[in-house]
Amino acid sequence: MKRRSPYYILSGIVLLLLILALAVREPVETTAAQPTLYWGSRGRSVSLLQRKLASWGYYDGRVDGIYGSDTYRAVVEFQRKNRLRVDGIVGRETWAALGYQWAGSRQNVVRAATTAGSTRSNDVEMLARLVHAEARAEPYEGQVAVAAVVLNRVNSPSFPNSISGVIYQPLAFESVANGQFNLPPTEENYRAARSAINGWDPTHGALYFWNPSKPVSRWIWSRRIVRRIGNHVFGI
Amino acid sequence: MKINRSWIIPLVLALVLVGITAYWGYDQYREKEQLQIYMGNTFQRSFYELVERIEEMQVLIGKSLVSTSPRQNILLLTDVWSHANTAQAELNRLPLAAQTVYDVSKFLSQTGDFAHTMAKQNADGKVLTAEERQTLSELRQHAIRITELLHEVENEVLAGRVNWVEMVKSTRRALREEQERDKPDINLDDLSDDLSKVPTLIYDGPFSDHINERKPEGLRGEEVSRETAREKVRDFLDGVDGANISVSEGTTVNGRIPGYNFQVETGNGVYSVDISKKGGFLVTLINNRKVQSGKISRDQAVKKAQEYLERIDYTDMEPTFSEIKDNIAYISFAYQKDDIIFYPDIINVQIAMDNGQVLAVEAQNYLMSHKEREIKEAEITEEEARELASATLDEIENVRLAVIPTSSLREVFTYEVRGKAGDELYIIYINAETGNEEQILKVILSETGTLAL
Repeated sequence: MKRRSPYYILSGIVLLLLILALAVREPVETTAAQPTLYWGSRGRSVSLLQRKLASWGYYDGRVDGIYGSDTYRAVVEFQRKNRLRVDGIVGRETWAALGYQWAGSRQNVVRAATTAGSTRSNDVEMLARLVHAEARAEPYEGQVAVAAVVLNRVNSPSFPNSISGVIYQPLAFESVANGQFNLPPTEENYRAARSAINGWDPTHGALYFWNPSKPVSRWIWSRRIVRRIGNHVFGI
Repeated sequence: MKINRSWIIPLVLALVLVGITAYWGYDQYREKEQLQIYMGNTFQRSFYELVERIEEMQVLIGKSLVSTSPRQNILLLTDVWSHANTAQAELNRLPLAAQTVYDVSKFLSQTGDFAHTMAKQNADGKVLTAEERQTLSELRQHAIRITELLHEVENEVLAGRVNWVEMVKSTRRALREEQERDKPDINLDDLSDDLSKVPTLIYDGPFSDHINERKPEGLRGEEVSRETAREKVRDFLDGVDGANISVSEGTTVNGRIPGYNFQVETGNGVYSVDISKKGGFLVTLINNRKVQSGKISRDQAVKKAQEYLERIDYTDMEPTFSEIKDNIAYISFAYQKDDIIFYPDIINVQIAMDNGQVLAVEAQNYLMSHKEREIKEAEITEEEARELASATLDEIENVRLAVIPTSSLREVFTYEVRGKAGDELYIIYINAETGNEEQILKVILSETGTLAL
């Protein structure tokens, strides 16, 4: 018995690794914000909800991505047990209790505004995301400044002539390359983006910003520095 | 036997594990390889597109130089503009460092823009001057030179010496290791040297060189010291108790409008205040206080903002646009004198909708463009302007005189005609001297505000 036990431990570890290896192949669940779900909703967010409820024992139906009566019952039970408002609607609080972030009414706002024929809310959304990704730890003024740099680039002949062109230019923003850009922005980020679009530019036309404490291209220091806000230096 | 058998299970499991890991690894490798090829192809496509568009552009400029028909010339020059725009966009899709593409990008934007301006001139019946033809021909020579260099890069790519995906990786690696890349991405250095010889281009378009070299026109008065500016900070704040605030020593702002920046702690939000060196004018004011509720009305907010501007000596400002988002009103003002509205002289204000406090002010545009202007008499009458606009508008709501900035920031004296076509609202600007249509805005009214496109 004593001589055999190491092998059992070994095989146990091997099995565990096997399971892990297989688990990696499973599509990675998104940590992105989730929309409000209710009876009749469909899609990946519903599958996510069903899987989560099933793993906690509230749901025993099929994971089919359709919010039907079984899902409804499971949600209601989950809400009752967790002392949430029992309405069968998966909104901010229910998603939070499930461990996910709620996308909020923001999406609705964007959609409502775009139907008016304006493209400006897309601009605000993109700018706010970049502000969040590049400057979320910066003071509010520094956030307005980062958004303003993007708009200054749009107006400069040396850079792409659209907001999306500037933001998605390869090698331009580290946060776009590493996916930080896809995180949902905060209320403050939106306000900073909106201020920049409405004309505020604390950088007086700067085209570059960089954090001197992080590795940056040496070339960048040849630019004329306008001012410093928080941890960022702004230059033309 | 027992010992032997106990080996079997772990052995089989280990083999299976090795097999699965190997398969998984190979699968990952193949997937990565495929994505890299896909990325490489996308970059390569942009590169070819870039080369073709510049070639096309160069040929079209050549044609326009020999064309004798203004009509033909307009078409050719408009095509130059379109090809230059695409070339510029494609260039900026390549994984090249900012300093590598900076000059070529600028060259393409300006060439396109210049061609577009020449096309507009032709449409207005003005023939190209000898000087303008000379500029076009110089731009063409540079375009030819760029194509030659790009063909060299093309050969490098085809020979496998330049790999776009590798370039992305090496840039990120170099940045991580805090050092410059040992070799530049592609050899466009010759190009930059070449392009530094492109003459300064001053013309009537948005990318003309005069726009960046603009000096503020609205700054009058004596140079103020940092101490004097610091004393003025309190005058610009709104709705805060002066006794409980602390103003920072101030830093220098080395911008278009040279000035000082002060940070003000109020206990309820931090202000950042920019004051110009010359004259001690308020340039920018930003407060980060959160606004949770909306209690006051739009009209109250506009009135509040207008009173504030008067108090800090920005007088005769007329509200032109307002939008309320997340309990903050964004209000735009333009200078108005003798019943003429001057759209280049814009000041923007943000009002908190909970208590009417002025949260932010932006007067850069105003300070850059405001000046004493000589007001000419309008050549055409309001009646004539109405008549011109009524050809397309079903219903005219309002007509007034306005000075508007063109894309190159030139000022044009116009009649502003607001009216409806069907149920859509438009603003048409008619040149008050020539009767030409200068600009058209489409207006969208929504609950949150008016939007002009």
